[in-house]
Amino acid sequence: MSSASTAARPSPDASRPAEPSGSSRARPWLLLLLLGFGILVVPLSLRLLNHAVVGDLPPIGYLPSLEIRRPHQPFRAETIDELRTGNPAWVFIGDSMMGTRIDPEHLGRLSSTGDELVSFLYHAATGPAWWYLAFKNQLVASGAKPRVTFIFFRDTNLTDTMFRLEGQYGRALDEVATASEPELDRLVAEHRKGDWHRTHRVIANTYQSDPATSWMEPAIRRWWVRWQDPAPGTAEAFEWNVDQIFSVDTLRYDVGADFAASDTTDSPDFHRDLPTSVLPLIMDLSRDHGLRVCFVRVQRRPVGNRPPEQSPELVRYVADLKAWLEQQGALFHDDTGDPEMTLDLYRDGDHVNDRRRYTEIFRKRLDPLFRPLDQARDALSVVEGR
Amino acid sequence: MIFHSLDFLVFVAVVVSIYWRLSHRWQNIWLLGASYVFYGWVHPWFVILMLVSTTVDYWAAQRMEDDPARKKGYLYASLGVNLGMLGVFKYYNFFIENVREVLASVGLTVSPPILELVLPAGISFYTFQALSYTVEVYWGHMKARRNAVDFALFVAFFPHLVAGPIMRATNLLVQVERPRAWNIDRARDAVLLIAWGFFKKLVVADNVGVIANRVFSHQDPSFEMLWAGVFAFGLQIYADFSAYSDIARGTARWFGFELILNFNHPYIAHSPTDFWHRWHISLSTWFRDFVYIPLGGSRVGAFQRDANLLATFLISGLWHGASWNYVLWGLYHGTLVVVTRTVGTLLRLPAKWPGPLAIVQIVLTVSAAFVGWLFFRETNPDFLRRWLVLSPAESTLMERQVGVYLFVLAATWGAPLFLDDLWALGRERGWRLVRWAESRWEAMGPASVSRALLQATAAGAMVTLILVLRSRVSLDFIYFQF
Repeated sequence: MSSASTAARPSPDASRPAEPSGSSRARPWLLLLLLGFGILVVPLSLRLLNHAVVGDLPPIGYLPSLEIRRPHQPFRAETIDELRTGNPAWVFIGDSMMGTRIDPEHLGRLSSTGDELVSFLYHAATGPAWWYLAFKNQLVASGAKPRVTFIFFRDTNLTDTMFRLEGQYGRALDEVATASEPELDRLVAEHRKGDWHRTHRVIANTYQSDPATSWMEPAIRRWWVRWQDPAPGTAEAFEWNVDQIFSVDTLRYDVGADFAASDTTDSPDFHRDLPTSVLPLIMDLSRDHGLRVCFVRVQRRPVGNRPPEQSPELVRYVADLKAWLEQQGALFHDDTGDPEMTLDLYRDGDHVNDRRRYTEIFRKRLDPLFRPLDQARDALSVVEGR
Repeated sequence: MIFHSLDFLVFVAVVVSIYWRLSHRWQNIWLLGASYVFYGWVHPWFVILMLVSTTVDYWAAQRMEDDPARKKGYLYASLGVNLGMLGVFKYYNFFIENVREVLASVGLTVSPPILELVLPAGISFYTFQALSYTVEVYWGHMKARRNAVDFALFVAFFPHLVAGPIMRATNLLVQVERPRAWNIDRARDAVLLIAWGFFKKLVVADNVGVIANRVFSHQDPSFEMLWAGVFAFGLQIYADFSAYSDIARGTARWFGFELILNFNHPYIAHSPTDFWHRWHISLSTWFRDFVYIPLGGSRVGAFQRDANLLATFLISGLWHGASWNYVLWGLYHGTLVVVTRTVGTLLRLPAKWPGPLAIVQIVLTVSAAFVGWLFFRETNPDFLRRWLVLSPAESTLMERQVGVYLFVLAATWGAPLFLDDLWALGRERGWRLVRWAESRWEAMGPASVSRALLQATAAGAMVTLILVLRSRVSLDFIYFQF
C-alpha cells in the first residue's frame, strides 16, 4: 500500500506537485500528526517503567512548588543532639566560602578561654535556603544558645532564594529539611510562578520523568563499577572516592572555580528581593528565640592587589542590606576592602587557601564578639555601633 | 536566543505558522525580522554589527559590478569591515597582550588599553558567510544582488546564524530568492533531525561535558584521568556541534530551506584528510576555496602545496579562537595531513586499507584527532606543557581506576554516537544488514504509515530520553564562543 501511494506522489523536489485528491491531501497531515502523537505519547511509557522498577513513587517532598517525586536523603537529626550537648559558644553557617575560611578548632583556641566550642553547620555548594533550614531545623530546634551565630555569604546570595536550590544542589537540602517547609515553599512559589516553570512542571508531572531520572541516571553512572564488583555499596563508595579526587582542594587556580555567586542576572536591588528571600524568616526566628546573628559578607577574589570591582548597584544593595539587618537587630560584617585580604590569601575563585590566617584576621576584626562573656555586652554594643 | 529553550520552540512555532500564510516577498521580510529578533534576543546591539556587515557587503558587491575598474578597492572595503569587526571583537586583546609580552621581553613596558567587549555570538560565522558573497561576486562567479531584503536574509537567516553551517551565497541566497514550497514529508523528517539534535546536545554532549570540565578543572590529574577527559571532550564537541547543525538543518526545512550537511561521521574517517572532509564541512570547504586554492592549492610544487596546507590550517585554528592553543591545534592537524599524505605517497599505501586493516586505519586516524582535542581544550600553555609529558607511571592505582571509570562513563554517554557512526560505516562499506535495513526503509516510501510510525516511535523515544537523562548542568553550545 505504501509503495503504491509513494509511486503516485510527485518528487519532493518538483516545484508544483500535482493536485492531490481529498484523502491523499489529508494523509500527509495525518502522518505529521502521528509523529506529534508519538512525541507526546511514547514518554508516557516512563510511568509504566517507574511502576515496574520502583513500585509506588515516593511522596512529593517538602518543596511542592519546585520538586517532583523523588527519593529523599534522611534529615541529619544527630546535628541537633551535637548542638544540644555541645552548647557551642559560636555557630557558623555557610558553604565553602565559610568552609575554606574558618578553622573552627583554631578559632576555639583563639577564644576567650582557649577551649570554647565552635560549631559548623556547613555544606559546600549551598545557598540561603540551606542556611535558613539549618538555622531553623538544627540550631533553633536544638535549643542551643550560642553567643553569636555567623552566616557567611557572597554579595547578593542572602536574598537570592533560588541560588543553589535546584538539581543536584537541591538534594543537599534534604539533610536540613523536615517533611514540610511551608514558609520556604511559599518563597519558592513566588519565584516559580512564570508560565515556563508551570510548563516544565506539568511535563515532568505528566511523564514522571524526575522519578525515572532518580533510578536511571545512577544506573548508567554506576553500571561499570557494579559490573566489576556487584557487592552492595561498592559503587557508592567508589563514587565517594572519585568525589574526593575532584574535591574543591584539587581545583586549578585558573579555572575560576565557584565564581558563581548568584543565579540571578538582574541588577541587584535589595528592597525588590527582600520580600521573596529567607532573610525575614531568619530574623523572625532569631528574635523569637533570642539568638544573635552576625551576617558576614566575604570579599570576592581581588583583582591584582585591589579589592574586586563593585557596581554602583551592588554598593547600594550592600548598604541597604546592612541598614535593614541592623534595624532588625542583627550584626553585619563585610570583608570587602580589608587590607589584609590580599590575593595571596586566595586559592581558586573566591575560595581561600589559608584558613588559619583568615581565622586570625576574622578573630581580630570581630574581636568584641570573642571576648569573655562578662565583657560581651559592652563588646556587642561596640560592634553594633560600627 | 538559544536552541535548547522553550523560548526557541515557541518562537519557531509562531514564526512558521505565520510564514506559510505569506507570499514569497513577505515570507522573506517576516523571516528577516524574526532572524533579527532571534539574534538580538539577549544583546540587541549585536544586530547593529550584523547590519553594518550586511550593508557594506551589499553595497560593495553592487559597486564591483557598477564600477569594475575599482572592484578591488570595493573588495578590500568588504574584507576590511568584516575582518576589522572580527579583529576588534575577537583578536584585539590577544594581539595587544602578545605585543606587550614581546616588548616586555626586550625590556620595554607598555600598557595599551584592553577592551572589555562581549564577543558577539556567531560573528565568525556570519562574517565569513557574507565575505564569501563579495569574493564570489569579485571573481565573477555570481551577480551582485539588488534586493536588500533577500541579501540581508541570506546573512541573518536565524536557524544557522550562530554556529553554522556557513552557507555560500551560491546556495543559500539562491534559495532565498526562489519561491519555496511546503513539503510535509520533509517537515516530518526535519522533526526527527531536530529531536536527534536535541538528544545529542542535552543527553550526550552535556553529560560528557561534565566529565571533561571536571578533568580540566583539576590541577593535577593523572595520565589516565587526563586522557579520559580528552576523550570526553572529543565526544562532547562532536555531539554538541553536530547537534547544533542538525537542529539548524531541521528548523530550516520547516521554512523550505535545505542547509548543507556539516558533519558526516568524522569519527569513522580513514585519514586526517578524510577527517577534514567530514568535520565542520562548511568551514573546511570555505578555507579550501577562499584560502588554500587562492594560495596556489595543489597546482604548485609539493613543498609549496604543503606550506599552503599548513598556512590554511594555521588560519583555521586561529579562526576558532584568539589563543595560541588554537593555532597549535591548527598546526597539529596541518602537520597530520601533510605527514600522512607524504608517507602514504612514499610507501604507496592505498587511501583505504583493505579488510580488517580498515578498522586499524580508522582507529589510528580518530586517535590522532582526539590527541588534537587536548590542544583545543587546554587554553593554558603552562598546563598544556605539563599534560604533554604526563606519564602513566606516576599514577596511583586509585587514579588509574578513576581514569578508566571516567573513560567508560564517557563512552557510555557517547554510545548513541558510536551506534550512529557504526551504522554509517556499514552504509559506506556496504554491510549486508545495513543495506537490507535501508532498502526496506526506502521501499516504505516517504508517505507510508509504517515509516511514519517508526519515525514517531524514534522521536518519542528520543524525547523520553531527553526528559530523563538530560544533564542537569546545562552547558552552552561550544561553538557559540567562536
